[in-house]
Amino acid sequence: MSSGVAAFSTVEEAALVARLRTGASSDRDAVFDVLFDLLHERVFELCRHLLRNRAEAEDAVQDCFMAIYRGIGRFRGASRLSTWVYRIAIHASLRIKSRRPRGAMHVDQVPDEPTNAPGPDDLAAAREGTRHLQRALEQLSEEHRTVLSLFAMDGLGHQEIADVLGVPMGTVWSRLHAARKRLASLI
Amino acid sequence: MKPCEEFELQIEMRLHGALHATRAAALDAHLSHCAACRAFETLSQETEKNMTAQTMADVGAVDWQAMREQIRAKLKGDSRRRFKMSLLVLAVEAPAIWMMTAGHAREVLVKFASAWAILVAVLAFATWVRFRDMRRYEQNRSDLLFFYRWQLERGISALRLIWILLPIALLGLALPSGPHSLLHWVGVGLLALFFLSLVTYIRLVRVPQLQRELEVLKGR
Repeated sequence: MSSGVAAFSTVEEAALVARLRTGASSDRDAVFDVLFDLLHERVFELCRHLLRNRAEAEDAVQDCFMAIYRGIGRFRGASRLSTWVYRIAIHASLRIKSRRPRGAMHVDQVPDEPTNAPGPDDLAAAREGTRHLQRALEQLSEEHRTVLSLFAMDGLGHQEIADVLGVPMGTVWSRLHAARKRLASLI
Repeated sequence: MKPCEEFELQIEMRLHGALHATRAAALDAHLSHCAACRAFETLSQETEKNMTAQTMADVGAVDWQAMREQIRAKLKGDSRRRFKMSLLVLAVEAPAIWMMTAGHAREVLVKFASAWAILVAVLAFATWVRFRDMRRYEQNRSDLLFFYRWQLERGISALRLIWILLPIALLGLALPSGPHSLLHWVGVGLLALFFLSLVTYIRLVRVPQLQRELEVLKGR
């Protein structure tokens, strides 16, 4: 699957980490700008998957990058920089979600505008399928939704997903499998 | 493991480019006669395609430049808010201390300092424990969601204990030996009000916020 979102290369990352370690505190703004340019779309993608609501995802991206700005000086390279950023994004999304009033509908509605589907019947079926999927995703546990969201992000390798989640590779696959089975049972 | 479970795992691995070619051939052979696994494969592909399509449509619709400016504005606003809060605390505490010290300057200041020392020591210890745990977590790579859950549970317990700090602080402040002027008791009242507001905020706003976060994490 291809999304067109540029990957965050290890070379760019190493340069940024080196800059963080050797640079003055005034460098923090410059590093922050580079990080925003490189990762904003991917962070949004992750938050959007987790929250299934564009406005909330935008808020989560803002919270995430504010947390990055405040914590960037403390980053010591125990993990990849992007891994650290994705963890913050997951945390920011969970916090946004916990602010939702109980019982209200927060998932973006499936648009009714015509798409490239071949005919009206196919279009209606596709829309209905998407609605079913949205409802089913809403009922998943955070553990299952998080793993599905990370795998739905284009270009994120399974090893990095394991690093983001902090679990062994085998656990990632079994968690993904369990999430998909649960999703299938809900659809 | 159920008969098809191993193949379902392999379907996921192939979908994400992690299945070796030799195992892929065996998977194809299985798929050719297992309708359930074919359905599972279709569901996996469709789910991801659907999730990705909707998200990517939204990526293009966001005004990123405006967002970057909003983040910068919020960061600036944060510093200003922190500065204003510090001024507010000073504005409440300085007159309160001045009132309380009337006639008992040394004694009240010593008690006030000990009350604050207790508070600061407890907060410093809590912060140190938090940083130590964060570092340990980064080194051990424990499960992210489990770590958040554990951290929240501990945070909630710690904040609930803050009730104990209020009587300690008040005892330290309000019981210098008498006789006291009315001004002294106004000062005590002001400080008591300050602590009470702090604890009420923690108990009625912050703890419920953290509890909601915990519920989300537990999937309730």
